[in-house]
Amino acid sequence: MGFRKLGLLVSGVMLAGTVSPALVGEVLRVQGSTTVNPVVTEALEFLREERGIRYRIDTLGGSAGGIRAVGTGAAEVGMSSKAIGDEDRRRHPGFDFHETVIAVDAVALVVGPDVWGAGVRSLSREQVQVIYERPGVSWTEFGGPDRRVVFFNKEPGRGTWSVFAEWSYGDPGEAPPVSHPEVGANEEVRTKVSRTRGALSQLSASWVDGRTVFALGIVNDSGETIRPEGEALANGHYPLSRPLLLVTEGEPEGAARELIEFLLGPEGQRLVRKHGYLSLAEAGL
Amino acid sequence: MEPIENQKSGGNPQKTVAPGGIENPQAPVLALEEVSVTAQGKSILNRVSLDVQPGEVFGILGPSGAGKSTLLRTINRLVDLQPDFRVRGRILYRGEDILHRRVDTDALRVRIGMVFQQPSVFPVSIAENVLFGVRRVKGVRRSERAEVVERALREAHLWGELKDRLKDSAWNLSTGQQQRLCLARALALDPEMLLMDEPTSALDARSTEAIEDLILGMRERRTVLLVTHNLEQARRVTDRIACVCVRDGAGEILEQGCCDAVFGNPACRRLFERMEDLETWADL
Amino acid sequence: MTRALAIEKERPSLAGTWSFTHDPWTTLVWGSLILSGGLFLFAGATLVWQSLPIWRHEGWGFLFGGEWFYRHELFGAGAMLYGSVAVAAIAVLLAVPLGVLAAVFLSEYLPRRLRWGMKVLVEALASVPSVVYGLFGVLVLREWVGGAVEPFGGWTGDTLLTAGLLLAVMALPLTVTLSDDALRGVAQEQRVAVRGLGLTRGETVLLVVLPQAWPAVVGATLLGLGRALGETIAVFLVVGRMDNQLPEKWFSLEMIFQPGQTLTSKLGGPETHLAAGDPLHWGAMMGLCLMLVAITVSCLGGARYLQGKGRGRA
Ligand SMILES: Nc1ncnc2c1ncn2[C@@H]1O[C@H](COP(=O)(O)OP(=O)(O)OP(=O)(O)O)[C@@H](O)[C@H]1O
Ligand SMILES: [Mg+2]
Repeated sequence: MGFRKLGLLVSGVMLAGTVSPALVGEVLRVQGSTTVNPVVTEALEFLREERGIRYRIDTLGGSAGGIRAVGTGAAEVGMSSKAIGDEDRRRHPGFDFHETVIAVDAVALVVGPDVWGAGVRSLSREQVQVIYERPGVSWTEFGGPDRRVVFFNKEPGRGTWSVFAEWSYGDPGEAPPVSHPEVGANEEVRTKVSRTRGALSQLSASWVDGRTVFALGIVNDSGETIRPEGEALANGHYPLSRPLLLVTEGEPEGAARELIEFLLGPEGQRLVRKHGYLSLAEAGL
Repeated sequence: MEPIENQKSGGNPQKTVAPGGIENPQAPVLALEEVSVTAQGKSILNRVSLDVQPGEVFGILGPSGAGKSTLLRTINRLVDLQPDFRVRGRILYRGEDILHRRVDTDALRVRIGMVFQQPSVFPVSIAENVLFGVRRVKGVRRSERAEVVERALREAHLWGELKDRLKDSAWNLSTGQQQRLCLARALALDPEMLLMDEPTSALDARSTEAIEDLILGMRERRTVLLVTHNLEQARRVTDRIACVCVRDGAGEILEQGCCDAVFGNPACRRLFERMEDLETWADL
Repeated sequence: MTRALAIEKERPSLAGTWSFTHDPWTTLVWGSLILSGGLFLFAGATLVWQSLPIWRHEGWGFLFGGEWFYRHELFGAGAMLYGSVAVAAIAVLLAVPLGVLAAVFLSEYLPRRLRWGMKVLVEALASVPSVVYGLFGVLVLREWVGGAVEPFGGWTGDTLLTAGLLLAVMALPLTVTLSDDALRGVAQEQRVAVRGLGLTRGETVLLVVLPQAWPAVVGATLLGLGRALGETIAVFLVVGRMDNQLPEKWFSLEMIFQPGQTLTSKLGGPETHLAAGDPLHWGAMMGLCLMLVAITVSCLGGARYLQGKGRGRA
């Protein structure tokens, strides 16, 4: 085992001097968060055309799936919308996870046109807890129409859900055992929220279009309303935000390294902004 | 006579004229005038004309594929069920053209019953098979059922064999019994005319004899059209026969009349000899 | 040819030892039988083996328990079993009458040429990928159901009813073409015999064609049901995926107007990935798999049995 690894390393170093790693025929496997996926896919497509990198990308299992895939060797690069947690490290003891932040995402609480039209503009953490713990509560309690709050809970394992749970209950494990209808991919959230009366759900801020779904502001402990926009996102004032990162085993090498360097460079960061996330410069990182 | 259109809806499908046309023996009960049948454009029967007298047994003889079955199916309009079959000409049944579009074909088939070359009984009990058509078409009171079954089975010479097995499935009967059961089923409707398409071709000698007896027994009461391959059978049971031959791929009437006349016609004789040869060959 | 030779070669030893190795065909048949049987047993055994932790943890309560909170180590599959049964029942109750009626129309009333075209169309519909039906469900059906269930206490278009309706739509083409085949399988002579007695086309269908085709039609239905139970993607998108929706009374209908969870929507969800590495949670997911396989296999077995019975009668 040790010898084989050494041999690979040696031949890798020898080849690196002469041939670009892409030509060796390796396929770069990327897996993970649907939030990070559009950016990385576009970057990879660019790299394939320009430098002949071969890749395979999928979003099986979201962030957790991506981290696990790297941990088990099923992928070279994991896409995650949450930092590696203790649970991940416990599952893969001794594994050398290496994280590179490429952008920052904010989770918005979104409503459809009817609730927005009725004048609901913000919720506080306490109000969100009430909604989470009392299925069937009416919007009238939050200044909205006389209609049941239909809370679509982002399914567990998604980065968005962890961001939400950490903000509202401090830790995903602390969230009370209440069942809600669940939603998965961002497209699904947007479709269902925009087409269900009284709907509320969590959604990446970049997917808010202000036409079919609308982001609510968050009332913080000192009573100010912070919207997931502009300055408040950049300075981290908006409470439901998270880093978007790529996970590798140790320092990235070969094609993975090319991908990450590209994303951190000016072109990659332009892509990040194009997909509605905050560039590292904007987020002050 | 009641018009055929009203037979079923009228609720009283009983005949108003005694069968056998006793009043005027010369008037044919059934007259085909220049009847031609095509299937998908291909001619099957060409300008067939026939007169059938009331109460007689009329035989139809001819080689295989001459269109004998098609002729019978045209008379009770079963050809309607076959896609792309066209019928031209006139078929007068008791003076009424039954090829007319407005004829109630279901009522027609109640009055002109049919027995097929291959018996096909329904997968229900023997008694239910007998009652199958009649209880729906004419309505049979519960108390009358046993009587209707017995009468039909007696007429079909089946009563003795089956009277203790009326509740058994009809699918377990022998082919000969099945054929006679089909006959009983048709007779239960008390048809004025019966079309019989080679009813004995699949049967053994004893069943054949039973059916021939039955045909002879029906004579005068019902008009029978009997298609047969068997010249001896034709001699035994028919009053008159028509000989069908194939010309240019389509069936035509070569000769019709009383048995001796048709058998005496040299052209018919040649045809029959060839048929018998073929049959002998087929038997070998 | 090979077969004949093999028999000849075997003939002298027939009275004596059982030597199938001499016949390459027998060897092949037995070999593949043992292989496929072995694979099936292996898969089944793996499911049972991997689900052992959950049976130890929950016992029989796993089957009917009403609480599933994996973070609190509560695993009761009752709501999912209920959801699957409810969704499949709705699908069958709708798809079967409609499908059989459509098949009767196709087989007994439509002119031959049109029938052929319709049959091609129906079979094309049967092969549309389920994602497409899923999208239709999300964009059209859930909207429509959302409005329709409000008087019954419903509050969203993602309901067990929506999933059932969608499955009915998906199962319909298969039900239609299999039922049509079953009706066509009834001998034409039987139809002609009925018509020859002066009965109508409708009477022919009711009295002779349907009774004879019935076992095969029911078999086709069960086949469709097996598929319905196993269908994931389309159900996943419209069922609501809400856990613990077990009605207080087993036969009350209120829950079908509400979001729910089926065995497949749970298995198709993120928990399958989350469970990896946690023997208890993984065991619970494998337990769900085992239930799904058991139900589906018994449906398919029932279908085969009834189809065989139908053939035996004809
Ligand atoms: N559905 C059909 N389409 C086209 N041709 C047909 C069809 N049915 C029968 N025919 C043709 O019509 C002709 C007459 O058939 P028919 O069954 O009436 O003959 P038949 O005299 O009764 O013969 P057999 O003595 O063998 O019963 C045959 O040449 C046959 O091939
Ligand atoms: Mg014939």
